[in-house]
Amino acid sequence: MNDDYSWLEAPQPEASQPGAGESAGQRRGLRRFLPRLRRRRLASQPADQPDATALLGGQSERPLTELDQRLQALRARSLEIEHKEEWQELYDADQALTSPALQEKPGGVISAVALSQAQKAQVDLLTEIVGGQVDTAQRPAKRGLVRRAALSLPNIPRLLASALLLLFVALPFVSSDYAPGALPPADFAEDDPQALAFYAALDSLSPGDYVLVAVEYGLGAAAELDALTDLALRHIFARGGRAVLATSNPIAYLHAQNIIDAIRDRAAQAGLRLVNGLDYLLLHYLPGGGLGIRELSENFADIARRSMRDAPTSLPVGSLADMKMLLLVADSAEDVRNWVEQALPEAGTRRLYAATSLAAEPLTRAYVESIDRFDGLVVGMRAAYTYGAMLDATFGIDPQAAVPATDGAVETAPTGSAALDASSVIQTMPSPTPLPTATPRPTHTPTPLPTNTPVPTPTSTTAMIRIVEVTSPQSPVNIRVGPSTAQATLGLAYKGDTLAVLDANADSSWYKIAMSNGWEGWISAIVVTERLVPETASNGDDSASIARERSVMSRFYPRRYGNIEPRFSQANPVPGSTRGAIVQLRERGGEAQRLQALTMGTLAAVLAIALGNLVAAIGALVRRG
Amino acid sequence: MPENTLALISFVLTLMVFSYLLGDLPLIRHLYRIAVYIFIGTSAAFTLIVGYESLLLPFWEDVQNPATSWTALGAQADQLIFFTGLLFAALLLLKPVARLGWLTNSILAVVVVMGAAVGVVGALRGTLLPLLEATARLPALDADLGSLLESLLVLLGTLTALFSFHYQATASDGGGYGLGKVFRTIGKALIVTALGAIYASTILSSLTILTERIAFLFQYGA
Repeated sequence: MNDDYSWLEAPQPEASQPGAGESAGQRRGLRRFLPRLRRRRLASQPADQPDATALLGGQSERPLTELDQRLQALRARSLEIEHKEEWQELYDADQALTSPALQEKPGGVISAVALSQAQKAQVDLLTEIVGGQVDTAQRPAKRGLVRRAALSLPNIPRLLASALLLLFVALPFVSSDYAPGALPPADFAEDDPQALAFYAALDSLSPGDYVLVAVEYGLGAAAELDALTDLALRHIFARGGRAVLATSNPIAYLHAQNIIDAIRDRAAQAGLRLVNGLDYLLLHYLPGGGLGIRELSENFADIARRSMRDAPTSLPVGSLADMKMLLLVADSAEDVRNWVEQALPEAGTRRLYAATSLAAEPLTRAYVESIDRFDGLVVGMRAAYTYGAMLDATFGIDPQAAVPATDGAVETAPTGSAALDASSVIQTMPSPTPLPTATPRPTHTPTPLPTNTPVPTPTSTTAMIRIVEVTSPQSPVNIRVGPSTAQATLGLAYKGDTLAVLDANADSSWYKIAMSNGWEGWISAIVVTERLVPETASNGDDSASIARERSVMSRFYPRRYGNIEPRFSQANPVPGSTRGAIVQLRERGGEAQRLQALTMGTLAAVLAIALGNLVAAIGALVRRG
Repeated sequence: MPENTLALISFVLTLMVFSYLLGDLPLIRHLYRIAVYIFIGTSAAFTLIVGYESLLLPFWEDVQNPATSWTALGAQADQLIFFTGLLFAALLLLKPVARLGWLTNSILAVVVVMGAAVGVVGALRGTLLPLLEATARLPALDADLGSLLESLLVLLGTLTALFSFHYQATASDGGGYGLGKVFRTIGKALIVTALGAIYASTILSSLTILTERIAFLFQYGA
């Protein structure tokens, strides 16, 4: 053993004295400090206590027979290797990395141990790190050059695989000749009872039923789940149901809002009105993932009192059990698990149905098959295709007759008994006056609204409507539930705010006005000034309407709303059969090509994986040979 | 913003993301990264806005107005909750101060423990017990052969998957011979199959996104 490690054996005080043996100046690296550290340790140690190193030094070596067989083999192999002078350097741990064996003598001790190429590369890297010089004689190129070359050249295999994938996926969009496989069926197959259960549950909704729609997907899954969310919401509206949307994902809230807006705007063009707070409602964002869902399930009544935009809601429901059903749209098994674990136990006997991405399907399906009140499941784009076809069939709409929706176009009137009957729809509306949410576009001829209110009928884009503007200097003023100061306060309006007039009381001392959240309130004529404005200025122009909407919305913080009779209970549910056209008013086109592209992409992926494995196998065989 | 402008921005961002296919090339790699940073940044900003507008601002309005209450507990409870939350948030900001790091850790501990407690209770009630019940449910005696086999398969799969787990460090696959080893092998095979199915589903999800983007590019180009 090297003398420098003698301190590990029994203490030899005379050898550790300054001046004895090797001088401190001659020692290099960590070895300079070892005697000093040892002296300090000995000085701080009582004389009657044995030194740990002494104890260690007194230990005999472990018998070879006790060693593991693998260690014995390793030891035997080390004894077989020829001893060389350079090996002495190995005992100097602090010098090993910069030893002459590595710097100056190619084929030194490291090479003698027969390192693999990868091990040599690691040794070189370590040597570089500590400032040593690497033996480059045996290497084909300098590391830096290799690295620079890697940066300047594209990854060829990845490029080839990507090009193959893109080519396959793009082919169906270029020509219909490249359309492998059949499109999904127009009906959920009998052997997929979960999809059938999903459809049947939504189709059994009655007018006025509430459905909690949990939207839990982000940007990555929008391509798969936007279509399913859109179809499910249209299905709910078409049956006269009411959707209460909740999410613990702000991005999902954005998607849900966009989908709802699109449905509402398209419905408005056809004379159907979907009212925020009446037909749909977005609850506020649930922070904390599972914690937020837990809070919603346990304190539903509290949370449901306010919408996402802080408007009072007065939902006449006290818990999740008051919902007709729970519908979950999720892109991950984690979200499914959260809702199953945190919300479903609080939902009484209500059942959960799910629409998920392909990635979340395996675990979700296990839940559906195992948990009693988790009944239905539809998955991905293929299910959306079938779901849309079933909706078309159910609501008597011939898919061939449905005109692809274009901006500002008037849709083809549906056929069949359940076809759109605009006049019947409007007659069933609790308040026929167009709200800011139903904004007919200037290029679209507004449907005449039969009404018994003094609101002028908009027969053209220049029709006039009544509004009131808050002019009282004592701003803000109250908006009340009824035409009396004894009625509860519903909200506030500030000087300069304009509100659409729905009606007035007998002596016109109070105006019935429309609030942005779909509510109707009363405001005193003393504090407002009535005037007529062109419809295009208030409702027809999108930007002006939205700006006004926000200015009013931002100030509708209620003072007290707990004692208000819920508006939902006052409004008559809209018969579902009259809203079947909502199903037709969806964007169409491109679904078939996308499904075919998905099939082609799957083929390309399988092909790329098979080719990659084949090349790797051949390479391995060549190396062995 | 005009629709065409939005479509153009989407088009450019899509191409920037696709530039990742070209590899880690100078300049090219920045296109992909810029697009990703934009997505992450806008998502984070939107989340912040939603949290502020949907939670903090209404809560603050209620705290200022004793006549309203966010929860059924009453205005004073609201104030207590709000200011407690505010205090906790402020303590979280002390993380960079080394000496006060224990305060931040304490708050984080509360959050983690609460999350874990809720998760455990939810997992027990929502997953484990229903799964146990479903696994232990015996098929009816008059059930058809298919149902009987399916139930047995579920039972066998569950038991073998549980057998395949061992919670001690061993050099081999758990050791042992005979029936136990066979069970463990079957369990591992089932687990690997399940993971393979999940992986395949994830690839299909990615392909769906790709087809949507390709469709968008063709639609915009047409």
